[in-house]
Amino acid sequence: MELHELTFSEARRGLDRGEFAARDLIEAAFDRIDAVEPKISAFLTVRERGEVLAEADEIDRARARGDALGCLAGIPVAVKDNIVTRGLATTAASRILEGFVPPYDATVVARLRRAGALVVGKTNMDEFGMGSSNENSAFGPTRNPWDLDRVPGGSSGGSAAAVAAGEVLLALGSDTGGSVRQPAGFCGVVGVKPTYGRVSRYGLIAFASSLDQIGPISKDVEGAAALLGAIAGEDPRDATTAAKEVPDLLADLDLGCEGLTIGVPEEYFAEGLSADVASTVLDALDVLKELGARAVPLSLPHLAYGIASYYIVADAEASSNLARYDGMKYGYRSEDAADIFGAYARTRSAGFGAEVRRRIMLGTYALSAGYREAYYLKAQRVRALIASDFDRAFDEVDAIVSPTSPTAAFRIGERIDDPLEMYLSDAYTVHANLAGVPAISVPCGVCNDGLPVGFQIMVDRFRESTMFRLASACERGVGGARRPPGL
Amino acid sequence: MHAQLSTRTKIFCASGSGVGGRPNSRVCPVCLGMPGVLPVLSREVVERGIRVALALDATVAQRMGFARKNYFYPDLPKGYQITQHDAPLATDGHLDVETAGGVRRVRIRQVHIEEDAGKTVHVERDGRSVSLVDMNRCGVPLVEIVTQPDIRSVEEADLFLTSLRRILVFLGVATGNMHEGSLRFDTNVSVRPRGSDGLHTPTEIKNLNSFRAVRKALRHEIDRQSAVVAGGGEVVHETLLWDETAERVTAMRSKEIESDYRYFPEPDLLDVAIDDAWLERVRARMPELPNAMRERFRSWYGLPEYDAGVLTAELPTAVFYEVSLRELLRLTHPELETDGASGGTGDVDFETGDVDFESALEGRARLAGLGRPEGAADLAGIAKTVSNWVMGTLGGWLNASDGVDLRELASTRMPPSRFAGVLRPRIEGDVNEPAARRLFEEAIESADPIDVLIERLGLAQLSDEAALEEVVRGVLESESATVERYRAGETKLLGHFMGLVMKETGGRADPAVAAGVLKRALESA
Repeated sequence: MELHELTFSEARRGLDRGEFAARDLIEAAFDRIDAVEPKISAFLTVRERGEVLAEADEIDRARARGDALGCLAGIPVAVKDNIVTRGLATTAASRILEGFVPPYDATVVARLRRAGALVVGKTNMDEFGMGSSNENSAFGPTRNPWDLDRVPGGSSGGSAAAVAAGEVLLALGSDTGGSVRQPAGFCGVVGVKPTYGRVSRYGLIAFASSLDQIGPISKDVEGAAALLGAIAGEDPRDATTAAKEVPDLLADLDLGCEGLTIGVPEEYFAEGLSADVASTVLDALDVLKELGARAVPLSLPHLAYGIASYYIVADAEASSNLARYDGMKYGYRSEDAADIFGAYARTRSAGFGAEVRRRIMLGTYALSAGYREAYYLKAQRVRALIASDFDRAFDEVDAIVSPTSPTAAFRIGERIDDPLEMYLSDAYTVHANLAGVPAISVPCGVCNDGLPVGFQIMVDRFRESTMFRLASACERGVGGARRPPGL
Repeated sequence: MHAQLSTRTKIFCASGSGVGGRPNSRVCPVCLGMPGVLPVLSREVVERGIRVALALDATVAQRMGFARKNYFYPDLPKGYQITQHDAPLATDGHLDVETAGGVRRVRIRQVHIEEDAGKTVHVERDGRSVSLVDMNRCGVPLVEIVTQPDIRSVEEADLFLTSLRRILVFLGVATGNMHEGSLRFDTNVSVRPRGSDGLHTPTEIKNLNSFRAVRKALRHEIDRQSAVVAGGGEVVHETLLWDETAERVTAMRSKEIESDYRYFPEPDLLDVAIDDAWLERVRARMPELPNAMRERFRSWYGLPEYDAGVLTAELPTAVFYEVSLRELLRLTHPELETDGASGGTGDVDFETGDVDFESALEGRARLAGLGRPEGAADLAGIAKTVSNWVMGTLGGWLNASDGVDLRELASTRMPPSRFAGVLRPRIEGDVNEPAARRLFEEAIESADPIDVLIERLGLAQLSDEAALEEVVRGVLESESATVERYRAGETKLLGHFMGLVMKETGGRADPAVAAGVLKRALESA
């Protein structure tokens, strides 16, 4: 088997047993990038091979000396381009940040380095995280390794595609309404949206501050758990991180699902769900039941208002978060304006893509005098109702499951001209962000088109260990990630 | 009123606060609003805010939160200001102001904290007019104090602002230095024709950076509105900008007025719970306010009302006075041990303009904690002498020395310990008043010890026997008749001769030595 076909856990064991070195993994990663990147365009920036190899050699020497190594020592990792990296271009796939090289690291990047991970490059995405297909990147779309005519999902499509294609073993994405889980589902890999406050957002280019979380993407559940363990925990630079101990997220992976109660909300298996996806997900649920889990029907009555509430809250916050991109300090700037207000208008009109402009306008409107009550404040009340639906449900069940998305990966261009249709890609994922609960998408097989289907597991806040335990049981019972046939 | 809080760091990051410095030298990714950064609230700023709220008898919220105020401007790097909107730090306070017509209560609607913006400067460069931005001020903490419409005249506004500024300075939360732009004012003005009970439409005036500007702008706007109303017109509700150089208001262009700031709760910061324990801790550390200090100066040191008022009008003056007095008492009455357990008061950091306010506050607390100096019979006299000197000689010197303020003088050439050293020979009668003034001026110019200066200027007591014999001989020669009477047995005339010797030496003769020399001369003939 080639090194690029390994999962994280296989690579981890191979390194530990000395079957290969960090240098070999990095060489394999760069070879794979050279081979497939022209087809999938998962990266916006790839570092110099020699530079990363030098870091790998450091790890290998440390290992030879018998030094204590971080849990990700020698593992090639990709970082979504909305996470700032000192000295490495960071654009959030936007023209307006073209050429921006941050003088500081995101907290998660510092923690990756501390854990010994080797950052290979920055991955493509929908501009500022706004999109579900990667078609909103200012630098061209990423393609799905399973079918190059299809989208990889979004907005962390580059990270999911890079992992699925074997370019890296692990990747960081960010998830505001499903942006890690939906592309993970579309690309047949594992993706996690942690509890809000579990992972520092310092250095994550904000889309919607109250919803954003950075999360791991991996071929296997173990990799996702290891990566989350490395980046999680309170950060003095982010006041919204929780002062909670992070448990050993790998500890419960082998416990199986016996004795766990799984809630199956009727709202997630209703109109709009592809029959093909539904049957694949229900088959996986049957496997978990056979393995000893108990499934109970549930109703979360406010889920239907999730998308409406989400797009108002997210866009309102985005309209404010994106105000700083004004051409005055860094990035793109239009030079031919008559006055300062003209300079703002021209810079932002030319620097932002169509979807970002649309969201800024929607969000600005929702916060405007006279509309704030009807839109922003009402959406916040709906959000609170959805959160209390989850609170009540988690009094009864250990986990709630659903398909990650209503459909498998769609074709490039299929939905780009219909924003509402595109927004429905997030119909099952936005709730976890609105309620702040953790959620994972784990591969549960392929549908009739031969495309992967994601199985979403949501648990109560800070109960990631249970989430990983169930995901691990699913992975073992159903078969886990497969090699994408598209390459 | 907006007042910059003089904290060590900015409100949401570790960059240094304060004023001045090379443009854009006190900045970091957080206060520059770079992509992905997050604010982290400084607890110190909250405590300063609580201190202000308590001093104004306002109700401190049990839970306060921040909001974003959205607008575009080049000196606002995030495109929004983090401020407080729906959940301010404190509400419903008041400040009683002493006016000519009695005490006037001004109600305080709200006290909240927020971040300052940067500064935009417009300059000529290569024949082109360009705008430059300095972000040093970005993120400097501000406290904003909003009153109810309780101020009825320009004079009341002036007294209120003066009193409020003094409180902020005494609280140790702000420098109150207006020339540094650390205080800024927005005013709302509406007029009511005498005899009627309806107020007309108000206008708002922004961009007032000094008490003088407030007075001028209010006077100008009251006159303008009165003329409009008197002419049968109605005042237009608008926002006006004070033009400091032209001394008039101009209406702001519509683009400059963001009527809709789209406030919403700041999602990057959690609400802050202020429990009773925290409030009590802040309350226990509240520094002495101006009125309390004035009363204490009267009761401890026996100062007249006027002196106590003048000395406590400005905090540096008050602290300089008290430290100097204590230092002087240590010199003149070493037996009193007035300084209790502390090693003297000379190290008190009265320099409250310094960013290190906490130590200054501790120094002030220690000073007040020393208690009234007991056992010095001449305390009131000494206290009054020091007061005269601080208000008179020192005040006069500062007035005559353009640009030198007390803090600067006292932190360099004339610390309180040196000032006490100048006053000691005066108190002890070793030098007379004109000599003491010369000594004071010389002590500013020269770094030499006080006794060296006294020596060099010839201000010292005359105790040299040969020199005194010379003086005595002259006195006795001109007083031959009286000398005869002394020698005839009228020995009480010795006092008369002593007086003449003292007069002859300008009071510098050492009384004991002079008396010995005199006796010998009188009895040796």
